[in-house]
Amino acid sequence: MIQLFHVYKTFSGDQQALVDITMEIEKGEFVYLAGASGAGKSTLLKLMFCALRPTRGQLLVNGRNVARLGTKAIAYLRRNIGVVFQDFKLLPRLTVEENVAIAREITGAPRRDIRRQTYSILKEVGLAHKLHQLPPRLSGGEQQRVAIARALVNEPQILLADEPTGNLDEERSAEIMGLLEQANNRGTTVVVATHDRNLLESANRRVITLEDGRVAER
Amino acid sequence: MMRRLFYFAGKGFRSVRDSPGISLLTAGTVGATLFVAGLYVMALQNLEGLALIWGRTATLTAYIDDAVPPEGREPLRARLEAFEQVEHAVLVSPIEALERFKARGASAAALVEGVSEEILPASIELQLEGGFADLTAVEKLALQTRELPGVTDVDYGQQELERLQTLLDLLRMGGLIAGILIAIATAFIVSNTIRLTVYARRDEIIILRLVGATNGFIRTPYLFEGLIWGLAGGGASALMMWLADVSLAPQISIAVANVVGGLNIHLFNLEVAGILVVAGVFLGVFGSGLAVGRFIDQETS
Ligand SMILES: Nc1ncnc2c1ncn2[C@@H]1O[C@H](COP(=O)(O)OP(=O)(O)OP(=O)(O)O)[C@@H](O)[C@H]1O
Ligand SMILES: [Mg+2]
Repeated sequence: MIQLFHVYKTFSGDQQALVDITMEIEKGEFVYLAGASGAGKSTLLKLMFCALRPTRGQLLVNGRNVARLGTKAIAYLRRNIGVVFQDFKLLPRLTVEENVAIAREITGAPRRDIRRQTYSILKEVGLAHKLHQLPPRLSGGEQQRVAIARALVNEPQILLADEPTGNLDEERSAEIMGLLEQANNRGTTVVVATHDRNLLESANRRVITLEDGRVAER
Repeated sequence: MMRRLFYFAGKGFRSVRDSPGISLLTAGTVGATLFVAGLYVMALQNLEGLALIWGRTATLTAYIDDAVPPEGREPLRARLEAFEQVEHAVLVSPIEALERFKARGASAAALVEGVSEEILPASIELQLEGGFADLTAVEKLALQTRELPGVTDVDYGQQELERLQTLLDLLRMGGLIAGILIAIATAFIVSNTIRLTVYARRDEIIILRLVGATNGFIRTPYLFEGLIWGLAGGGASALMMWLADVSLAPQISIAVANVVGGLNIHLFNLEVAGILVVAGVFLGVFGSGLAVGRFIDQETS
């Protein structure tokens, strides 16, 4: 599903965020990206949904080399990759429903379908009663769930989540991880970046650890 | 397809509604500039009207050679009247010419006191058909007249007419250049104003891109927004022209009546109104496209 061959990412000023990364994530897999702060987890995820381009190396998503895709192709690729951002990236002036619907609207789906699908996914993450709330009025955990709903509403093949349990207590974290597991059970390939040790130990999943931008697989 | 269009139009409308300040500013800029441009065009049209009236009232005088005997004057007059552009040709004998000169006033009369009519040439006054705006047509007629045997000279106020024509050409040229400059400047101002709205919504644009929106999807609502602003601004300028026409034009017409009788000043017509609205739409859409284009080409990360 996702393959990297000798991928490098260097930021301006010789800041080497990723060095010679080679890895493969299978279709339907659930993988954790671990590593200390600054190890390069977010950078790696950004490469996967083409928010950044690799400085060097090949990156294949669904068998396609995405290193040199044009803007239009990137847009279409992203509809197939749900992303839960570290900072949620919700629009504060749109309601919960509208925030989720946006991801459907851009595909040109009929309005009625959008309403139905948006409602159904929000119900799944337990926010059916907060449809018309604005994100700033929600708790951190609720915002996280809106972000997950938006990432999943297009039924993507890949779900990328960056610190989805960032600053949530254990109970809320478990709820969130449950939602990601559910998506994975339906066949979505899931990649979760985290430095939450509890999560990694309890999950019993494959873990790819980054250290200073390099893979240190155990 | 229609559904998409409605979707984008709806988004455009909503963002106009949600940012009334900036919308007013943009539409106002478009409207004010187009109003100025419209006034200019109308001023030009009125001047052309002036040239037309001037041409209509103008007579062409052909002076007859002294060698032509008095009985040879009438055939000449008849030949001139036969010209297509000539409505009337009137023979003015030296005596009549002298009388006219005396009629100008006491001092003129004193000047020619005791002068024999012999010193004034006979002439033929040509009243022109229909009227003309075009100097070249008058010039052609003057040339034809001068070539007739027996005609020594032709006078049709060429200097005045030429000056008016030159002025009109200059204004037309200036108007064209000014128009182009105004269009560029307005598109630029509009695009900068729109950039404010685009900038205010940069988070939305970034998020739209991150969830997979194409540039077209992001851009189109802004184009609709520009369309709305342009329509409003162009419409407002046309409305202002109409108001100016209703309230100011009659007064101006009266004021200039002393100088040029029969000149009706107009500050509005449907053609100009249409052009203003179309220009407004063009400016709005173009300015909007320019603004988002500059923003959209940047990288997200
Ligand atoms: N846009 C950027 N410009 C320059 N350097 C960057 C940029 N983004 C990331 N970096 C650097 O790349 C390295 C990896 O950053 P990254 O955000 O991937 O780390 P991370 O593993 O996600 O950390 P955290 O757990 O704190 O989120 C860091 O040293 C960071 O300073
Ligand atoms: Mg990070």
